[in-house]
Amino acid sequence: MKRIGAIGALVFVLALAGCGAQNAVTVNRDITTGIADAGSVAGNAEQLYQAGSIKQTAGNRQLINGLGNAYNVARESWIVVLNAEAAYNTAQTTQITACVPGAAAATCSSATAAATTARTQLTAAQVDMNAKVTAMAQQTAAVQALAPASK
Amino acid sequence: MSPELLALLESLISAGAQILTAQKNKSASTVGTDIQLANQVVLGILQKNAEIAGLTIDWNDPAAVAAYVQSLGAFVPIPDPAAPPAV
Repeated sequence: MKRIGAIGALVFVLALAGCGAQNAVTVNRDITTGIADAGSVAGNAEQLYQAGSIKQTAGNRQLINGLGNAYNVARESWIVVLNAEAAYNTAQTTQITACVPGAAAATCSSATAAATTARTQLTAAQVDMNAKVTAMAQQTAAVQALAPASK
Repeated sequence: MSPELLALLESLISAGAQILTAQKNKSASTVGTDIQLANQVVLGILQKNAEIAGLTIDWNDPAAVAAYVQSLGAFVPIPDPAAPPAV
């Protein structure tokens, strides 16, 4: 139940990423914190493993590396989303300027098309990140499921 | 902190503890060590959360957030000791 709850919580947070600007601060901070914490867990475990505090077995190494790899993938996809969001914000600003009353229709049309493209790219990046961060949560669940069997 | 984030953190902390206790042939005498190790992982998360809470970046600015996420750095996998050395 806890595993399902954690994955559901992540999906909920990620769904918020597509909401309005009033949630942007909380969503950006929460997703960053979740990913950073996964990296902290993996990094800490790696240090303890290298120091010999965690038994140096192939199974433990693979568990730690699996979580670390999931963190890497999720972190990269989050950066892609943030860059796409920045590009969309810029395109929107350009569109507002280009489409003021009295502006040339062609200029406005071009800026609108660019903003639409940027929005499409942002949405695609969010969908991709959703899948990858959910995979990170599932990797966490896999660690939880494997650990009792390896004791 | 939102309930959703708390649930996520709970899962991550539990995962960290599970990693640290995933040791074969563990005897009862190692339980205290496991608790100490798990505490170190939890402490690492708390320190990371405190670091993020103390950031002065504008969370509404995706470029600023991206710069911080980039600064977190990538996880470097533990090498397989049985693998042949890189050329």
